[in-house]
Amino acid sequence: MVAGKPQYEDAPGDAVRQFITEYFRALGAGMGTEGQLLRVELTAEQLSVLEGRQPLHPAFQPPDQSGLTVIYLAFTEEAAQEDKRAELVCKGSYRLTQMLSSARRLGRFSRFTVCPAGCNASGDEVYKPYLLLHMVVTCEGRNGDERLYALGIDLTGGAICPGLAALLDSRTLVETPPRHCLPRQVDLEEAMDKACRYIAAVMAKEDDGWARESLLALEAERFLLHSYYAKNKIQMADHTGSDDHAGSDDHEGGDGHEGGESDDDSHDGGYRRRLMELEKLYRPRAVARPALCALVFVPVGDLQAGDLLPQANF
Amino acid sequence: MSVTVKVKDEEIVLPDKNEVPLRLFPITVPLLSFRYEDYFRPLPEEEFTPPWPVTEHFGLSLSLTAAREMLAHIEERRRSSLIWYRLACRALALSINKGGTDLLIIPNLADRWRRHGFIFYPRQLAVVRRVVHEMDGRAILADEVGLGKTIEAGMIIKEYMLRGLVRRVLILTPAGLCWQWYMELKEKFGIAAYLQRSEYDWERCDVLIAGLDTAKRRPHCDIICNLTYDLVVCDEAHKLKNSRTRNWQFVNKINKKRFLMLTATPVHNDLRELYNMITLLKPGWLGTYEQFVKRYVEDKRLPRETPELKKLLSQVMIRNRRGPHSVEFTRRHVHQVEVHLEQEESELYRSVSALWHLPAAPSAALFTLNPLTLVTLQRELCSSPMALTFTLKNILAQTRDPYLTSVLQKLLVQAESCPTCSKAERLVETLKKIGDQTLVFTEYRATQQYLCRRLEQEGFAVLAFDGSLSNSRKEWIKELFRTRGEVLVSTEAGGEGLNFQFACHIVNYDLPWNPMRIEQRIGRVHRLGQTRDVHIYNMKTLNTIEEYIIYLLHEKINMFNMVIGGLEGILPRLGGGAGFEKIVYDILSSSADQTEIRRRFEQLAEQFSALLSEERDKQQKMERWLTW
Repeated sequence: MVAGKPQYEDAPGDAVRQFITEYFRALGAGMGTEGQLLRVELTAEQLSVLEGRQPLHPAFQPPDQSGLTVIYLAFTEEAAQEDKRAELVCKGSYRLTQMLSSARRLGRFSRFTVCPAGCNASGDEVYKPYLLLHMVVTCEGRNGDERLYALGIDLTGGAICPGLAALLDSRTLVETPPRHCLPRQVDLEEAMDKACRYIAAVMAKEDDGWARESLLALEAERFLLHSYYAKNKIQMADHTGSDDHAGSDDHEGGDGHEGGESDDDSHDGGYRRRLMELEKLYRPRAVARPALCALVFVPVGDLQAGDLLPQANF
Repeated sequence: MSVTVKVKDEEIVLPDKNEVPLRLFPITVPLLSFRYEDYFRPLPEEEFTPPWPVTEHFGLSLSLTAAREMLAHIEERRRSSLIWYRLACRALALSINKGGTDLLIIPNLADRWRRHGFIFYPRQLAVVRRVVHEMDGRAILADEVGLGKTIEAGMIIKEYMLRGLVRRVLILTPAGLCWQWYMELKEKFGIAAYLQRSEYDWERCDVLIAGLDTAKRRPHCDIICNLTYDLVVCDEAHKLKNSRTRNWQFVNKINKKRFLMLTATPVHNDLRELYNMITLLKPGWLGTYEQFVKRYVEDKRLPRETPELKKLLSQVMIRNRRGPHSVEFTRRHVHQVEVHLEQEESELYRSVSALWHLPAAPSAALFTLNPLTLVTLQRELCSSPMALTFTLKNILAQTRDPYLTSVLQKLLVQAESCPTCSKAERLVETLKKIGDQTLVFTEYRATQQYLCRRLEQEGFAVLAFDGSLSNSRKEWIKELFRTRGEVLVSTEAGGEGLNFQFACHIVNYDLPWNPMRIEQRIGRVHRLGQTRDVHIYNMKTLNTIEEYIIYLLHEKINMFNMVIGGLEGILPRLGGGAGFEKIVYDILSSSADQTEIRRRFEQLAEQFSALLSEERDKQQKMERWLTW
C-alpha cells in the first residue's frame, strides 16, 4: 500500500446499503422498509437532485396528488425478483451510479476545522490551512483503470501531507473557520501542481505493467501499419498510370491497388492519420483530475501527530 | 358533465372532474431560456498540462479542464456541509473503476432491461468482452440477420462509456435506420444520442446518429474529418466493401480511435470486399492487396490457406450464426384464413374485373386505366370496398372523359352500396379466436380506418398505426399497445423500424406483393427477444387475384416459413432484374386466362427456388471459412 492512497476495498453489500441510507438521510427523503425493500419517498426537488437535473417547472410535474415519487430499492437479486417495483442496487447499478454522482457533485468542496479535545476554533489557538485533495487518476492505454489518491498540501509552505485524509475519521471536525490562521503562501493552482508531482512520484513506485502492455501493443500496430503503407507505396509506384480515382458512390474505377488512398499526398496523409489514431488509442498515459477538495484548518500544535508529518516538498 | 364559467366576459369550459385535467404547458419557458450560442457551441475538448514523467513508459498530466472547474467552484464559494463532503468521499471510493474484465454494463443495465423485458444473451456478452478486451474496440460484427448486431454495438458503446474511455461517438447508418438506432440506444441503454439535423450538430453532440449519405457530402464530411471520435460505428457496413467508392474513402478519412462495422454479409461476391473492409478497420492486417491475393485467394470467391486466414479473421471479426449451438428462434406457424365474398361483393369484383374486357373505348381517355390501375383496383377490392371507393373517387376527380366517368360512376355506386365487408367480419371472428394481442397489417389507409371502426364496435381496444405519424407519436402508440391495446391495425409504412416482440400474432389482412415487405412485417414480432412461437394468419379471398398471390407466396415459395435473410440477394435477380412485384403485375395483367396465370406463376416459383438454392450454396461455401 502506497502512502497517500486510502485503503478502499471493494465495497461489500453492507457498505453500499449504509451509503444509500446516509445519502437519503442527508437529502431529507422519507425512508421505510417494505419486506426486503427500502422504500424511499422523494419530493420533486429531491428527485431532481438525485437525477442531477434542474427541477421541473411545476406545470410539467406529473399530476400526482401527493407530489412524491416513491422508489423501492432491493439489495439482493432475490428481493428484486420478488417485487416488480423494486430496483436492484448493487455496485455499478444505474441507481447507485446516480446516487454516487449526486453525492460527489453535492460534496465537491468543503471547509472545516480540526478541533482536538480542548480546542476551540474561535479560541486563541493558531491554525494552519491545508488543501485536502482527492485526485482520480485515470490510467489510459490498452486497458485502463482508475486510482484514487487523497493528500493534503500545506498552503503555508507547500509540503505534502499524505495522512491528512485520515483526519476525517479520527478527529473532531467543525465547520466554523478558525479565528487565527496563518497566511496562505501557496495558491490553489500551485497546490494542484504539487499534488500531481507527488502522485507521479508515488505512481513511479507502483506496477506499470498496464503501460508496458500498452506500449507493446502500440509497437506491434505501428509496425503493421508502417509495413503496409511502405509496401503499398511501392506497389502504387508500379501502378503509375492506372486511372484509379475515387468519387463514384457505388461504382468501381480502374483496376489499381485496393484498400488505400489513391494518390501520393493522401497516401502519406492516411499514414499520418492512422498513426495518430494508434497513438491516441494505445500510448499509455495517466490523467489526474481533482474530484473533491477541502480547505482544512489544523491547529499548529497538532502537526506533531504522526500521520500528519509532512513529506518532502514537491 | 362539464361546467362553463365566465372570467372577464370570456367563457371557459372546465373539464369534468373525472376527465384528465387539461394541462397548459408553458412552452415559453424553454423558448425564452434558449440561447443560440449555447445551442451551437461545439463541445469543448479537454485540456491537459504537459506530462510529468512517471516511469520510462508513461507520464502523468493534470486535466486543466477539471482543475479549472474545481477552482471556479471554490471561487464561487459553493461550499458543501461536512456531511455531504464525507458522503462524497465515500461515493468517490465506491465509484472508482478498478479495471478488470468484468463488464460494467451488466449491473448497470440489469434493472432497465428487467423492466423492459429484455434479456442478456451470453453470446452477446461474450461479443462485448472480446471487442473490449481483445480487439481494443476495432471489430467487424458480422452476425447473421436478426441476431442483434445493433444490441451488441449498443452494449459496446455503453461499456466504453461506463469505463470513461469513450465520450464522442458517431453512428453512421442508412437514413432509414437513424430513428431505430436512436430508440434502441435510448430505450435499452439509456444513451441520450442526437439525430443529426444540421451541420452544427457534428461538433456539439457527444453521441450522434447520422445517415452515411448525408455525412459523406460537403460541408458535413469536412467538419467530420476535422474531429476525432472515440468510437465510430458503421451500420450496414457492406456499403464500405468497395475501396473506390466515396463511402469507403470518406470513412477512411474519419479520425477514430475505435471502429465497429456491422454487417450480416461481410462477403457477397468477392473476397476483395472483405479485404477492403478489414483494411478500413486495420490497414495492413491482411497485408497489401497483392500480398493478400497471392497468399490467400484461390478464386475470387474461394480462399486458400484457410486455417491461417480464419485465424487472422477471427481477430478482427465476430460472426455468430443461427443454429442449435448459438441462437434459436421460436417457431412460425402459418394459418390460412379463407374468406368467401358475399353476393354483392362478388358482383362488384366481377364488375371491376370486367374493366379488363371493356369494349373498344369510344375515346382514347379510357387508356388512363392502365393494367397497373386495373390490378390495383382488384387488389383494393380484395382488401375492402372502402379502399376501392377511395381510389375510384380519386380517378373520377381526374377524369374528363364522359364514357369513362359513367363506367366508373356506376362502379362507385355499386361499391358504396355494398352492405358488408366479408373479410372484416372474418377478421373479427379470427381475432376473437386468437384472444391475444395481435398486429393486423393492411396495405390501404381506407381499409385501416374502416377496420379500426369495425373492431371498436366489437369491443376491441384498437390502435391505428401508419406512416403519417410522427416518430414520437409512434412510440407513444406502441407503448399504449404494449400496456393496454388488444389490436394494432398498421399500414406497411407504420410498422417500419419498430419492434413488437411482446406480441406473437400477426394477421396479414391483405398481402404486399413484395416478399421483402412480408418478411419485414413478420420481422416486427419474429426476432431476437421473442419468447413465444409466432402465429401468422393470411387472409385469402377466394376466387380473386389474392388467391393467386397466396398460392405463389405460400404454397410454391413457402415464403412465410422461410428463415430471415437471403432475399436481398435473390429478388433483384428475378426476371432479369425487374423485381418480384413487377413480374407479378406483368403476369396478372398480360395473361390471357387463369391457366396461363397459374403456369407463369409456376415458372416464377421455379426460378425463385433455383436462385434461392444457388444463393444458399454460395452462402454455405462462404460460411465454411467465415465461421469458426
